[in-house]
Amino acid sequence: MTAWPALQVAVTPRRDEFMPGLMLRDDEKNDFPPGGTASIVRRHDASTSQLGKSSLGILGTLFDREGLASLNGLEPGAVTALTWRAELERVFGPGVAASRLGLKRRLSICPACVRPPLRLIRRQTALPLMHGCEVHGIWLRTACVCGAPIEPFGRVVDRRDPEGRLIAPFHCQSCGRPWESLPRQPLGPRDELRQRRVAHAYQVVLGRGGPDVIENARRVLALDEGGRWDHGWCLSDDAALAERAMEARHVKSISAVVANLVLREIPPERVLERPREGPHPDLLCRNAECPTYGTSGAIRVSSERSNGTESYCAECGSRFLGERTILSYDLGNASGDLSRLTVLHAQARLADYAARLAEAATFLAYTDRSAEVDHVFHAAGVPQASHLRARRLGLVGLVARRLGRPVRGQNSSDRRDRHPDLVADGFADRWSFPRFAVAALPTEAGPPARRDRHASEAAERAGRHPRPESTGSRR
Amino acid sequence: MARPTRTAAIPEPPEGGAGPSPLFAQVIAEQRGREPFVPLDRYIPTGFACRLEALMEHAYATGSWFLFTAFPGDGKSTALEHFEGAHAPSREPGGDGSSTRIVPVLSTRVSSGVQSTDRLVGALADELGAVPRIGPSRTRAWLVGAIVRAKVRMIVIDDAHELRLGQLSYLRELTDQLKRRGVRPSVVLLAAVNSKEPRSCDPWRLIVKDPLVAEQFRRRLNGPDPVVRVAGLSEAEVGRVLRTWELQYAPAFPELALARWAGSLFTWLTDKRNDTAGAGRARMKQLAEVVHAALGLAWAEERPGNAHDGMDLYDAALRLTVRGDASPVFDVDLDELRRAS
Repeated sequence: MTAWPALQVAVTPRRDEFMPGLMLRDDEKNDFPPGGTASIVRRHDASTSQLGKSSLGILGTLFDREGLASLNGLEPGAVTALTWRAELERVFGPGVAASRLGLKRRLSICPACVRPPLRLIRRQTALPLMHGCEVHGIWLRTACVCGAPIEPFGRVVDRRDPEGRLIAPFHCQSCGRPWESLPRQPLGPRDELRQRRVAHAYQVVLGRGGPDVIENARRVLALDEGGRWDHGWCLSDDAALAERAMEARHVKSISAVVANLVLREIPPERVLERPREGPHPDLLCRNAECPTYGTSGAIRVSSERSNGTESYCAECGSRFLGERTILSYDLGNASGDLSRLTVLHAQARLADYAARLAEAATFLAYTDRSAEVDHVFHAAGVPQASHLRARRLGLVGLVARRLGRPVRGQNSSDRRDRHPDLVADGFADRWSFPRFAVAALPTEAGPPARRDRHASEAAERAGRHPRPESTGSRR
Repeated sequence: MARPTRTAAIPEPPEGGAGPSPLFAQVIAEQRGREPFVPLDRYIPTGFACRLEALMEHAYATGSWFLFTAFPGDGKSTALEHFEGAHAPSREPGGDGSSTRIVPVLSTRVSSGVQSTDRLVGALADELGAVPRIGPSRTRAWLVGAIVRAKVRMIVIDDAHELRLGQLSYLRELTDQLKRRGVRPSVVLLAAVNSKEPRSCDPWRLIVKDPLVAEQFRRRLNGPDPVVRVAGLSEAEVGRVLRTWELQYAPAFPELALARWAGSLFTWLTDKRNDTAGAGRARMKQLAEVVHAALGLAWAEERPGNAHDGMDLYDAALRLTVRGDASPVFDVDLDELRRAS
């Protein structure tokens, strides 16, 4: 830190003031050209071209912040409070880059806020996606009417307007027009509402978020993602918001979090919630036929829904939404939420799954010895839902036995197929076997014998598709 | 060596120099583990300082221009520092949360590093507050406004004997611009001289060398007495300074009795070899050097009660007188000294 002598006229930071705004007020009060104070506290390795960047006050890295505080007779940390450094460091840790907040190409000012004697550039205007002034309800300006961008400091200190007059602080660096005279365009109702949501989201994420806020945001956005992509949630009339719509796994910056929360209309407070570890204490298995009935020992949480937490029982495969049973495979589930017909339909669906899985497992056991249970579910077209892997449903055990894999919770000597009739004799009609394995496919489980080479070549010449020797209709 | 008497002048230095060197004695004592003797740095309102400050108060009150001169070592800068303390800068709060630094006395020192006018402008601007890196012309314009904002009532240039004509002209230009804005600060140039004639100092010679410049300055300088020399310490004033030191050093030197040597010290310090200009006054700088050398020697030798001797003062005065003619050689085996201790 460099100990600078105090400025002749020292100013006190205002509430929510942005650091470049404080320096401009210093310039104005001390009769300096715009950037005069910045040139005093500018670090030696900062080039003049960097002074034009919009991100120069996000972290205040280009300037000696404690030096600026001593210039104004302030406490050392008073200037850091005029940047977003503390908030970003709380989320991303020390050494954070300004790009973690998000990209904002130009500095924005509110023409009403910068009028004398207020002369206030609010800290919120530096945030990406903030296009309006919350206080005055007007659009922020990023450019002068002459087309030049709003720059707090000129790259040349002693700059003059076209008429040869020195350009003062809070004036356009190109034409010398006062910023307070820029047109004031009111925000529409929708824009104002959206700006409020954006501001609120920033307030929550930056003001209250901790080191896990990005991970939490990814989790929350991912839970919401399944249906949103299909329903076109990314269509927004705000281009800045729309261009930040992205999948949860790509979210890295604060502005991306905010944009996606606002677009999906998710309350930003959700990113502050910690992920629940283990089942909710209120979630119990409500299937009376399940051995874990009335306990949470086999309860697993599958997702968060707007009307409750969806869970399932890893023992019986029943599904619950909050305290309501939404699916069960047992008629004696003792739930008033499920009809008998619903359970019967579920059982029929389960039987179909079992048949398809048995066929696929039998087939893959011959053709692909490295096949796993997941592959079989995929090949059979059975949903890879967690509740379908419940122990009592027996689907995973069925597949594992057919594949010759050990089954969890089962004695290794008991590998007997308890459902030998699940695979019909003609099941292979629905599967495409390799040509060389046609003749030797046995009816019982076991490796196929090698076929005679001449017989295979003869079959190819005949142009017939290879088939197993025994065929029959599907059960 | 004969014991000095009150009115005896300093004799010629004996062969081989004066008595034991206070410097060597202190260094050897420090090597043996004794803490170093550090003279107190406190302002003493000497007769010279009171006279100079009274003149500056007059200039401050009347807004006139003066050239005050004195011999080197009389204590001009110390008196100026105390005067600035009496008119210390303050902060005046503004209505919008800002505060402006009010500097009643704007002073700077001209030295070999401030030879150009721009450097003088920069030095004056630095006294008002931090200044950005803007060009010289912009800084000059800024300085006028800054002086008005700071409500400066007096501009003091220390070591003004090193001023150049361009810098003097700038002072005139600056005060003209201030006058247009309704501010008329007084200007005091503090210069060192080496003769009893104050008009022989450099700023005045620069002014009178050019008749036109002299005419322009004459209108601003105080009419009948624009150049004033401030006299050094009289014998009685030397006694008061010694008495003050007795009180200040009493905790560390309980048996200190300096005031009784006032006459002798005044005589030794106004010897023609010390007082080359023949002013017949003692200089504060030399008085402090003699006394502090004697106290340092007494401290190093760890005498009972740290009592000094009149002979120490005489030796120190003698060393001061022959300074530059005889250089002692420091040739002590410090390793042997440390082993012995």
